[in-house]
Amino acid sequence: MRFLGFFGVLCFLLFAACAPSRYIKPLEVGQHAVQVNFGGPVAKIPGIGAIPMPLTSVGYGYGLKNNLTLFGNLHTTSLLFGVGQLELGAAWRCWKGERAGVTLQPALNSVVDLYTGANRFWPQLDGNFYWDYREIRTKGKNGKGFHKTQSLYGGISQWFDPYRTESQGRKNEQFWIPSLQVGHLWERNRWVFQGELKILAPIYSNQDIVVNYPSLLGNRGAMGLYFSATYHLKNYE
Amino acid sequence: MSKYFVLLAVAIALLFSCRKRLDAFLFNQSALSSYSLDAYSGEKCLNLGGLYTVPDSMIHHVSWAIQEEGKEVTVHGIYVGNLAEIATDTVLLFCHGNKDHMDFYWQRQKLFSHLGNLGRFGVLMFDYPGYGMSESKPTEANMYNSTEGALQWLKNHGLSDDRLVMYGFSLGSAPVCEVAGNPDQFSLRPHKIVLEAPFASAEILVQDGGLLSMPGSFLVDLKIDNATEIKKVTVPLLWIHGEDDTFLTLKNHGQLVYDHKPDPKQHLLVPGGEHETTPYVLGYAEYLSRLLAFIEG
Repeated sequence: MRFLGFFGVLCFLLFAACAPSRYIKPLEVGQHAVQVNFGGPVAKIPGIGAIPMPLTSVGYGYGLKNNLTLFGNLHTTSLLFGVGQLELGAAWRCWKGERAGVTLQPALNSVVDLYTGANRFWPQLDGNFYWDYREIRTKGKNGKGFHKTQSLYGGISQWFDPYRTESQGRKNEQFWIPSLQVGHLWERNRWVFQGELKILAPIYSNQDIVVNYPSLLGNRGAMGLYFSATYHLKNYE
Repeated sequence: MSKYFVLLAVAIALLFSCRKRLDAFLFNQSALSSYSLDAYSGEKCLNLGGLYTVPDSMIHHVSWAIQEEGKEVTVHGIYVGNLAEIATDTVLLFCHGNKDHMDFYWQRQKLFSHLGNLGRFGVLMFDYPGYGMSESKPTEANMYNSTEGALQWLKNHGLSDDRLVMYGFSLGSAPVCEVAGNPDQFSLRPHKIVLEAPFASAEILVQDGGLLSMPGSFLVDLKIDNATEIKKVTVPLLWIHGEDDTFLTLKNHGQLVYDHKPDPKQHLLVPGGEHETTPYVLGYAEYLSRLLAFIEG
């Protein structure tokens, strides 16, 4: 049943591992932004090799305060399966230094089968530390400036599965599904590009399931590669 | 801005309008223009090393037609034994796993044909639609329809309920549980069933793969639920499972099916056995001996 390995990978990545951490650096107050995300767990595809799965989501963010951004994301890949997955959350910068900060991103993933009505709600809490290691700001003769910042970040992403039982009354033994991530931000004027490497679910074995996950940790967890682009719209405030 | 939102809404509507399903991943079929059996040079389920041979005179290529959405679909099978003796023989109907076709599973059929001694039991194996030479594409529904076709074919040749044993390996556990759990809907009711490395349900496959406790309908339309169907099965069961099966694990799949089965039932757990290697690890002679004891017991 070799292809079922790929099937299992799809199951996981479609819902729980399809995006990088959101708004590592919150928007400015009143700022609007749109975002596209691309990437997913690295899967071994028979005859192809190990590749990150091309999952997508689109989102919108709004800077409610300088340290608080509200965001929503629609997972377009799961929509292909007739399943609406909406992620609503906030990015709160709880500490800010001169060139660094810590941001928490609580979110709720609401997932509904649009055909059968079956649904799930999975809370999520991410926490990230970022460091602006390079920043360039210029101002031209016409008054228009040029802004470029490069940042590194790292943190933890946590999914919570609050349902106590699974199919056939089996006990759900995976209440807490943590992942660890490191990433890089490239800010250039209105654009922010983000690349992230995740170690997905490192506390869980990737053996004895219908999945063949390549992982840096051998028989535990899986790797994920993610990219996103955020465009800051005109500030309407 | 508004035009972008309209475009986004249209794109989302288009995405939603063509719902994708992962059902096809359950089936890993390969098409063939003819069956090679012993001459087949591709991957095989077991290596019998030249043992358990079957003379050509006992091998019969058979076929029957099933209806699929008003169209006739031909299903191909291999019967090992004497066709004229089906009316008096006990017959083992082997429902194979999800891989390739009958050429891949031919070694198992040869092994079964040596139960007791060569030809003591007739053995019928067939390819689900889309597998080997069988027409159409595999679906859960036509997998059951083709199994009903096999039962009807056996009944037409004189087989009765009390001489039918069904053996389901891996994916093949689904049609066996379907028939044994709902005998009124099929031409024959098995006298005994054997499930080797059965899977519990499509939903458990999804949940195992996904870590999260998600409904199966998020990804598949498959209704296969052996762990529930088996509750209705009253005929004796022999459950065989390799303890080192890392694909359909003993705990999450086979054990669940077995626990839900009312008595009578017995099990044969094979230390060191993986998903497809149980007969080899146990030893072919021992494997046949244990199987024979169950059928005759």
